[in-house]
Amino acid sequence: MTMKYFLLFAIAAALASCGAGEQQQALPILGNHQFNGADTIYHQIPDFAFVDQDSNLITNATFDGKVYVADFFFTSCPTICPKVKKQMLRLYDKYQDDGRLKFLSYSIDPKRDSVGRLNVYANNLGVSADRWHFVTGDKDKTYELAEDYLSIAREDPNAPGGFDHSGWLLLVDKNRHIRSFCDGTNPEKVDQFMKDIDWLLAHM
Amino acid sequence: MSTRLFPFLLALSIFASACSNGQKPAADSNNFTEEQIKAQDEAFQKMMSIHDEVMPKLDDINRVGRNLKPYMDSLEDKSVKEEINLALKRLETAEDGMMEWMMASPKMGQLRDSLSNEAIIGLLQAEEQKISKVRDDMMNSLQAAEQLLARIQENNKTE
Repeated sequence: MTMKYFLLFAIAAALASCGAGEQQQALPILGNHQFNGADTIYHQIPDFAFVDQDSNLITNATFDGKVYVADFFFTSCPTICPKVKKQMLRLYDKYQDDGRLKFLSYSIDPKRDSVGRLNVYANNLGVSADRWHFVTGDKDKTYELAEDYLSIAREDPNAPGGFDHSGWLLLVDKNRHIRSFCDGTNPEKVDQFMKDIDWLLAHM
Repeated sequence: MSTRLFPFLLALSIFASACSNGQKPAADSNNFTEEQIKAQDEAFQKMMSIHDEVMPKLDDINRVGRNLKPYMDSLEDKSVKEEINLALKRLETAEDGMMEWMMASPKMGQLRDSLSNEAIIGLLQAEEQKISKVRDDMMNSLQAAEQLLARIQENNKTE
């Protein structure tokens, strides 16, 4: 009798521990939302228009029906950006067979990061422009956009807050909502970020 | 015979590598001693810590510039417009200084491939001076622009 209960308990414990290890919490919608009575107007990435390394015009429409990982960088960044790019390459390689995920890197130094320079940079990384766009454009607009992307800081004290936190990766869904972020210089944080990407792709 | 020889050889190789680790120079050192590597790393960190300190200010520099620019159109006072223009130029020059310093900033691997220890330390100390000047330009231009903006906003409030 005792043995039977022990066996049942062991099976239940094993199942519970398997379940706990695989569970991924649903991703919230991040950002400064507006509350209008009973309605919530969720934060969305504002309109943008930039040019990528192949001289393509890149706008929000480029990512219709897709999810993407965004970051802010510049090609002459000496310390943080190389680490972030290494982690982004991990993501790029992992999801190479899933065309639903794209990558978008905004240069905050358009004066020096011309289309040509971005083209060389992207080629050195060995990535394709139809999956990973490196964009350049109006500097003030880029900074305003960065402030908007990184505005999730006001909601979450652990979230990015500007270029003192440069190196952050942000995950944007097909409705222009930010769903996750991570410190792109930290491989373990990026491991967790991958789980968030997996969840989002499974719940598109 | 081989069954007794193998563990002996294994132990010997382990000891040999353990001993040699203590004498081997650090990775990518190009014949620098451990003390020299340490001193070079410290000089690099000292230089880079100044960069890290002011890097976040690029955001503030851009923001104050964005807040000043609309007043170029909305204000009529020519002398204030000229002050704004100068402030924006100073901000841009300071930002350019930072971006250009970063573009040219030393990479330890390249230095160690081509320079002596004394030359490396000397170069890093010189770069520390350069980035200190960049920091001062950024902070001074930022402070001046923020003070100008505060004054303009205050004057516009009372009008």
